[in-house]
Amino acid sequence: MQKTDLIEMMTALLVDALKEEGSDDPERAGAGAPLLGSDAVLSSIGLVTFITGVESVLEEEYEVAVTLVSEEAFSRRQSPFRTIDTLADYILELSGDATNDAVQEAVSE
Amino acid sequence: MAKNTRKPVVVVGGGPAGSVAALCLRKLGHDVVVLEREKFPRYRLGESLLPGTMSILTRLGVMDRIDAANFVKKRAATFIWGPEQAPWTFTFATPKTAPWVYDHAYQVTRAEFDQLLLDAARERGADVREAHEVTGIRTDGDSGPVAVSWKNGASSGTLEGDFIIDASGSRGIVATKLKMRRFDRYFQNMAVWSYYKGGKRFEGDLEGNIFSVTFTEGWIWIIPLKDDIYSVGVVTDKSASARMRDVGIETFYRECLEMCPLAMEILESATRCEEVRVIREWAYDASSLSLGRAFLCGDSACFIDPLFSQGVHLATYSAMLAAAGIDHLYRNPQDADEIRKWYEKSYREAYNRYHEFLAAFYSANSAHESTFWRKRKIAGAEDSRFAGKEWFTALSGQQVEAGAQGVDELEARAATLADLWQHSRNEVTDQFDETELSLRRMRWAGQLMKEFRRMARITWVSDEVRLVPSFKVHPTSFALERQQFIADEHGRAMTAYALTEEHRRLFESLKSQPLSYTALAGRLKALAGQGTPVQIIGRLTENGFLRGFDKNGDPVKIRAALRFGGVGAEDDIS
Repeated sequence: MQKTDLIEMMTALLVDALKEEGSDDPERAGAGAPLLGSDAVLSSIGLVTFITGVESVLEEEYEVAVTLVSEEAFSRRQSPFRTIDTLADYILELSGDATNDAVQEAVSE
Repeated sequence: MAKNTRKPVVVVGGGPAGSVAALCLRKLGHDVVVLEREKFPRYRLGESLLPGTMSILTRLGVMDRIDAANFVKKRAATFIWGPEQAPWTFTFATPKTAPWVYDHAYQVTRAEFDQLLLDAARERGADVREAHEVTGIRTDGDSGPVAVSWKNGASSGTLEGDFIIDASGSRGIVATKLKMRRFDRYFQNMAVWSYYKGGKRFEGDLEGNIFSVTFTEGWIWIIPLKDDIYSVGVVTDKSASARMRDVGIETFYRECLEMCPLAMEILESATRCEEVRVIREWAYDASSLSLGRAFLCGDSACFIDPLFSQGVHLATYSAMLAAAGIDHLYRNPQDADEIRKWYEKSYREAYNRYHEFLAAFYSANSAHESTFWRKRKIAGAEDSRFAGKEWFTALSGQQVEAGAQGVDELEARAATLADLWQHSRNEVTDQFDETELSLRRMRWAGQLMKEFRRMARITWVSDEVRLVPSFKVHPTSFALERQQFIADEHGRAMTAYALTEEHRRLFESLKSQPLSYTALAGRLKALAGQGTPVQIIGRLTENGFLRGFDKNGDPVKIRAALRFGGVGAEDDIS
């Protein structure tokens, strides 16, 4: 799973999410578009729906089962939800953990 | 009505309600005369605005002159509330779903702001007559007032109009002359205020915010204005006037400020630069918000506690509605009853929403021990001060099975809202970052979505699903458009989003074939109309039209937050 693929996939989902919320400018859906704070491009419900959509695509197309909206994510000093770019890093980090866990389990067996 | 027999629309009052009414009517092509009692510029209280007003002004094409006036940009309101003085910030941040959706407002000097608007109305062709005091209104039986008498120095006269917009402020010429004004028994405040030069200014995400800070006997507003001025006011119970008489207004004001550490910290190096003023801020409404061919706008119709800075927003919002209604009546005079009902419902709903919000907010957070806070605690479902208030009747008797639960539910929604605003630190510092609020909202949204997804069966609660016609103001033309809304057989309608017959049939089908949240959201997504599936299902669930059950048949309770008008994308557009 490459970061560029993740960004491309999430950008397409963000365009859809912006359109669904009636955004006048779906072109703002870049990798650096702010997802949090005063300039956030989506509402909080829209953001959660978008991230849930990302989880579904990861599971269906990449066979990676991760929970992105979690207390662990919320408690991080630098939130992973700031942009698509930071979210892609977080997914790679989580999926790396998942792979390591799987490897660990395989070794244990 | 033939063009050549038309008289102007007479607007009484040149404050924000009068100016916006005149601007809307001119945009819609009507002749307008504005009679303003005073000569502008003139002083007014009410400096803190809401984004909803910016939205209306930008659609009227006058925001450029407001932007150019160097008023302090207001992106949020910060509340320092309760004995623990916990800081909460209610941010205006919202996705920009249209060019007229605003994430900020301004803290304005009203003399200048009001003049900018009145001048704009004059430049757009309104016949603005300052120093013209309206001394009387003429009524023709049931058709209501159709003329006003005026006085300008030694001159006087009568002006006839096809319609009258009463934007005369708290004087409320129509409401008081026709004895339509009703005073509120819950909100009975007194405000004592003045202005300071200098003082500490916050940076970062607190910059420009209004601070509303509680103390034992009420709360204090601290509003940063341009030119290094702070507007600082004390809101307390009317019963405190005896104490004020005893010690004098200046001592009383100073004593109150000294009970508020944040006020003292901000004003430590500041100097008071104006006299201390006092006003009894009685809350009131009118038994009817229109009468014949007269529409009551802004403070002439109703006023409520200033905690959420909604005064100018209700003024400009009602002015926009009245102007759109009058425009429709010029073309469709046969719709008079329908338009009056629509205006009454739309404006009253906006006012009631603040009434409910403020009562819930005070009641849920009245933790200080004092007369002010004890009086602002809702005494359960039987609290007679709310007798006749529609929102309270709905809450305590109809919508929720048990009245006491209704009041508890209201306070729970206020508590949810407060949770969403709370800072992560208990100190008011420049380090505050709005991102921490985003994460709180996101966590709440995540829980909300989880609850929705637990709904294995969603049913329509009442017997019938109806589609009822009403109006909405077009966001850019300001003309009224007929649209349809989902309702039940009790006449309750969900007017946030205009929906269609396909929506009605879908909700109708839920009575015999309930759907899961996911299935219902999927079906709604395929239908054309306003609102996203989660917005539509959310509104209908919150308002008791829909009810969700989990896979075991237990009801799924949604932890909703109180809604607040005049902010965000949904509430700016009527």
